[in-house]
Formats: sequence, C-alpha cells, structure tokens
Amino acid sequence: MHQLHTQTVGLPATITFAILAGLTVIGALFTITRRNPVVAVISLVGTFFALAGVYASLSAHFLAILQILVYAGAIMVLFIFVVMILNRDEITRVAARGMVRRGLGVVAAGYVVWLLASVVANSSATPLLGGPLSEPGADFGTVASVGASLFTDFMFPFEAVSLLLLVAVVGGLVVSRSEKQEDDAEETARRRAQVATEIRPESMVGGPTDATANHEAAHH
Amino acid sequence: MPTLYYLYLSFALFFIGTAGVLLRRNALIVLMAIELQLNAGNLALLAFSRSLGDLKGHVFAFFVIALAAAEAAVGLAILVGMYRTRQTINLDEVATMKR
Amino acid sequence: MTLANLPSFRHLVPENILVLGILALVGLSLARRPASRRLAGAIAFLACLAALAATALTAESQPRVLFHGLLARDLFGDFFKYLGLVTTAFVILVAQRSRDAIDYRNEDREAPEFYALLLSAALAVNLMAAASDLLTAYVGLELVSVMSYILAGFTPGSRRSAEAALKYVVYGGVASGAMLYGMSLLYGLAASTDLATIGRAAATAPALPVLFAAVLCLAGFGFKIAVVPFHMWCPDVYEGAPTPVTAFLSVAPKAGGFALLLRVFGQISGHAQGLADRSPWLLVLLVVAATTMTWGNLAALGQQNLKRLLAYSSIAQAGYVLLGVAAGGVAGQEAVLFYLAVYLFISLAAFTAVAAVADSGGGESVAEYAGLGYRMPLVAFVLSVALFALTGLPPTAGFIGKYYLFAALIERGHNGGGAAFYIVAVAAVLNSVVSLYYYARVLRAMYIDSASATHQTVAVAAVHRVVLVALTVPTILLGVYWSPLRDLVHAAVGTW
Repeated sequence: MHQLHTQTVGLPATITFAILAGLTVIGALFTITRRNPVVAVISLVGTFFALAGVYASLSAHFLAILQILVYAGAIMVLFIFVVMILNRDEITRVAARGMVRRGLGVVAAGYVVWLLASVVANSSATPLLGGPLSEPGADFGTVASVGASLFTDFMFPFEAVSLLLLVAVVGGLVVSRSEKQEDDAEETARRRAQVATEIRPESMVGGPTDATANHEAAHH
Repeated sequence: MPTLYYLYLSFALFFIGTAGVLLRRNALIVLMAIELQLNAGNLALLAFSRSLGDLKGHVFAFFVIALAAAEAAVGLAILVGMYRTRQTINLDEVATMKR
Repeated sequence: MTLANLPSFRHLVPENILVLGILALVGLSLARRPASRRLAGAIAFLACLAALAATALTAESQPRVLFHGLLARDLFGDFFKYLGLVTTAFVILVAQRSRDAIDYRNEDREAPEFYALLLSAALAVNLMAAASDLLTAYVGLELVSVMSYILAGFTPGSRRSAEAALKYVVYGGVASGAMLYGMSLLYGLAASTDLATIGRAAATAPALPVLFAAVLCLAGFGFKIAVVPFHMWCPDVYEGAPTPVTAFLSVAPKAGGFALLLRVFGQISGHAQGLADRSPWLLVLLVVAATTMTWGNLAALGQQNLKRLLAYSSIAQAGYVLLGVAAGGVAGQEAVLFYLAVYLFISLAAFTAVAAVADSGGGESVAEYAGLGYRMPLVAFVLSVALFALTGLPPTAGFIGKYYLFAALIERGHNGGGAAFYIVAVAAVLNSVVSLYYYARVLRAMYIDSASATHQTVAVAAVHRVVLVALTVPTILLGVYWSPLRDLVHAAVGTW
C-alpha cells in the first residue's frame, strides 16, 4: 500500500500541481491588481481555467467541467457584459484615501490566514490533512456519481436553489431598472392604449375598405 | 500531492481575495475578489472530499457554484442599477449617507 | 428518525404554500395587469397566513429529521418560522401604503415582484430555522441574503437605495466567503456536513482548528445578525432601503441567523468536551456581544436620522441577544427565543411608525419629528411604547425580555462560567441606561419640542393604524402577562 502511494505521487504529478497552482495564484494576483477591468476579467477567466485543472487533479471531474462551463463561461461572460456596459477605466489603481487603514487590514488578514494555515498544518489532524491522497474509486467525482447523490440525497436543496435562481432572475431585472426606464415604459403603454381605443370603433363597423377606414380614422 | 498543499493554495487564494476586497475601490474588481474567496472555499471542500473519499464535498461545491452565480448576477444587476443612478461604480464616491 | 424524500414533503406544507405563492406572484408579474398591485398584496398576505396556519396545524412535539438528514422539523424550528411569517405578514401590510417600496400612487411599480421577493425571503428564513446540515444552512443563508440585496435596492432612481444595495452585496459577499471557508474546515474535520456529526466530531477533534472554523462561521452568521465587527453594512442599508424592507430586515434575517447560531454552535460547543470546554470560545462570544452592545449604543447617541438611529439600536439589541447565546443552556436559549419574539413586535412597531410618518409627508430626521405628539398622536404613542420597550422599561415586554437575558447570564456565571458573565451583565445594564438617553431625545422631540405652530392632526392610513395597534397591544400585554409566550418558548427549546 505504501509503495502504491509513493508510486502515484510521482514527479509528473508534482510538476503539474506546481504549474497549475502557480498559474492560479498569478492569475488571482493579476485580477486584483490590474487597472483595466477588461484585463482583470480575462485574468480571472485564466485563474478559473487553472483552478479547473487543479480540481481535475483532485479527481473532481464533474466540478472541473462545471467550473469551466458555469464560472469561466457564464459568470465571467456576465462580468464582461457589465464591463462593456459601464465602459469605464479605473483612474487610480489603488485609492490613496484611507490607505494606511486598509493596508493594516490587509496585513491583519494575512496574519490571520497564516495563523490559520499553521494551526491546520501543525494540529494533530495532520494525518487527515497531510498524508498523500489515497487512490479513489473509478467513479469518484464523475458526473454519474455526483448526479446520483445530487438527485437522491440532496434533492431538497437542489429544488430550493432552482427556486432561488428563478426569483434572483426576477429580482435582478427589477433592481437594475432606472426611473427613466419606468417612465418610458409607462409612456409607451399609455400611447399604445390610446391608439387601440382609437382604431377599435372603426373595426367594429362591418368590413369597410382600407381606404374608407383610413379616411374615417383621419377624421377622428 | 498531500491534501495540505491544496489547502495552502486555498489559503493563498482566500487571502488574495480578501486583499482585493480591502484594497480596490472599483466595485467590479471587488465583486471579482469575492468570487476568488468563494473559489478558495470550493477548493478546500474538494480537497477534503478527496482525502475523505466522500462525495458530499462535491455536492456542496456544486451548490456553492450555483449560489455564487446567483449572487454574482444580482450583484452585477445592482452595480448596473447603481451606475444608472450615480454614473459611478467607485465605492469611495458612493457615500451619500454620512456615518 | 430520518425520513427519505417523498415522506418528508408531508412535513413541509408551510414551505409548499409559500412556494405556490411565489410562483403565483411571478406569474402575475408577467401578466402586467393594472390591478396587479392589490391582487399581489392579497396573494402574498393570504400565503403568509396560510403558511402560519399550516405550521401551527402540522406541528408535532416529536422532532423529525427530513430529507436524509438535511432538514429538521421540530418545535424549535417552528418557533422561528412563526417569527419569520408574522414579520412578513406585517411587512406586506405596511408596504401597501409605502412610497419608497411599491409606490401606491404609481400603479405600475413592480408590486408582484416585491411580494415574490419578500415571500422568498420568508421561505429562506424557514430554511434557516430548520437546517440540520451545513448545506441547508448555507443555502438558506444565501437565499435570504440575495433576496435582501435585491429588496434593499428596490426603489428605482434612488441614490440611497442603490448605494445601500451595493454596500450590502459587497459586505455580504465577503461574509459568505469567510463562512464558506469555515464550513469547509468543519467538513474536513468531521467528515460530514451533518450538524449532529459535527457536534460529535468537535468533541474529539483538535480544539484550535475547530475554534478557527467556528470563528469563520461566526463571520457569516454574525453578518446576518449585524454584530461587531460585521455590522458595517447595517446603518447604511437600514437608512437607504425602503422602510418596509428595513422593517423586515430588522427582524426576519436576524431571527434566522440566531436560529442557525443556536443550532450550529449549540452542537459544536454544547456537548461535553465541546468547544466551550476546551477553548476560549465563550469568551470570544462574550467579547463580541459586549462590543456590539457598547458600540451600537455609543454610535446611536449622535444620530439624527431616525432610521439610522434605529439601525444602531438594532445592532445593540443583537448584542444583548448574543449574550443569551453565550450564556447557553436551557435558560440562555429560552431567553434568546423570548427576546426575539418580543423584539419582533417592538422593532416592527418602530419602523411602521417611521413609515407612517414618511407616508404623511414627514421626514426621517429627529428634528422633523418635532411636535409629532400633537400631529399624529397614535403614531407618537406607538413609537414611545416601542422606544420604552427597547430600553427595557416596565411594563413593556422589553423589560421581561431583558430580565430573562440577565437572569440567564447570572445563572451561567453562578454555574461555573466565571466572573466574565457577571461583568458583562453589569455592562448590559449600563448600556440599557445609556440607550435611554438617545431614545429620550426622540421622545422629547415628539412631545416637548413644538417647532411648528400648527398642531393640526394629520391623517394616518387605515392599514398603518391597524398594524400599529396590532403591534403595540402585544408589546404592553406581554409585559404584564407573558406566560403563553413563555410556555411556547419552553416547549421549543431542547427539541433539536
């Protein structure tokens, strides 16, 4: 068993992980430091692709594809649309105001994360966390197995989330409307109703020709 | 690869996301940094799931992706609504309500 | 006894009714008929009442676990469902005559969407109340958060509303990210997302990682209940959001958040050798609660906008309730549930009063409330009762609620909690005294300052009057005769 572990965790796997992890971190850093929002979005897409590779190395095949389809595909496309709508460049990369306080906040966050990492690494839970990964079954992380679990044991949250998506779409439409849009819509509706009430009496009169209909409509 | 290395990567991503939220003032970049944080959590879930041999982590990560998509969509819609009202998406300029 | 999927639906009648209501409202919003505002309100209100009745009728004293361990149906969850649904029903009534949410002067404002979002938020609070798994907790929390973001930004063209929604999204996103990380750590340590299993694992796993994971989860839950340091969004969102939405946000997500807090942390720290025994977790909770109380009260002292003042006051109130969570045990939990029920009536009454004043053309600043005692006597009276109750003065229900909280603290300090509990109890009493100062400022403006010469009474809408009376009566009544609520709370606690 031990030999099996050392055989599966070989040099190619280490190099692959190092490359993917490096790409992920570099992409993430680029995302938060770029001045141009379009470049930031593109680097986030790259980060997600690298992350999908990391997921695949964790035998999470379904999640890796989902990451590409949903995150890199759908959500990032949404971001690109919004960037195009807003069409603004960031004038300052990092705002100067309150810089000291925010810098302290970042340092504090970094310290906390480092503390957390060291606690997790040094705790006696390390056998769970530190050992080389055991070889999973052949259908671990495949669409079939995750789907089976999703539609039987986790059917309830699945339905709840589908309801959430419906209401979120409705809400998203509502919250991005502007008052001018509202007034324009009302105006159009009013005009349409006006035109409908003008034409309807003519159509009730038995089958006049188009010319007489237009003639009578012109008189009203 | 030991699970721990994946956890280190997720810690790094989480920290980068938090730093992005704290340092950047462009609301769009901040939303992207939040997505980084959520992905860090997803990575941790999948790493644990692999080392435990349990598929619950995968299902949880699936839901996180779905919910993150909904939250991103709503966040972006609010951003667009804000832009239509104020013509800015800079979090510092958006401060009409005094403390 | 864990039930499978199909048999579990029998216990989910209230949620099914809410879902039907939501679908009906979404369908109505597509129809775009001119009379949709009243019809939408009627559908939403009836759905709430039907769900309330269904919860009461299908309640069983025997707790059950549904859906392969994801959801629980017990009296504890039912209590929070009552809180959420009652809040939603009152908010629907208040929104009928509000100008900033669904302007009743303008027929085409998106009423069906508003009510659909409100019902979805109520459904989410139901999920949070009944969660027995980290996944359901996360889904419920995210659902209520997303609905709240949208509702906060509902007024079109309003700068304050858009700003409130944006700040809410940003802070909320960070909080959920942190909470998700904590949940993933709990999953790794316990090999399961089921709360009971996590509770057992917390007793055997190394304490420090569990502590960190619990603190990260506290970030997410704490954000929902607005405790320090996750409170930054609260004043801006409460001020900028439409007033009925603020009324809803001040009660329902808080109730759901506390339900989750009690369930999750009760499992992690409640058992023998749990987090409470092996780490300074209780001290963390006490420090957070004490800081929240003090910060909320001090920050409210200088506020001029009434909604903002009430927001800081509500932050402080969450601090008091968190003390009850820290006290723990049967007494602590009962105190938390009792206070939340009482707080529902008080907070809704206060915000309905604000909405009534805004509807009649008045503003939101304390200065504009001058002479309100003469202009709108009913509203001023209700607001006074609510402020007295928030301070915790007899004979209001707020006094009884605070009494139970402090009693739980003292009892815990007596039973080996240490001096910290006594100190915090004293601090809480001092904070209540401080809060009297800024509440009295509003009272003084209403009754003593008469800036305007005209003391002509202004009409208050009928629906507002009904709601105000319906909320004030329990506030005073429960201050005198509170055993029915006490019995309900007693039956609820300990069933999970």
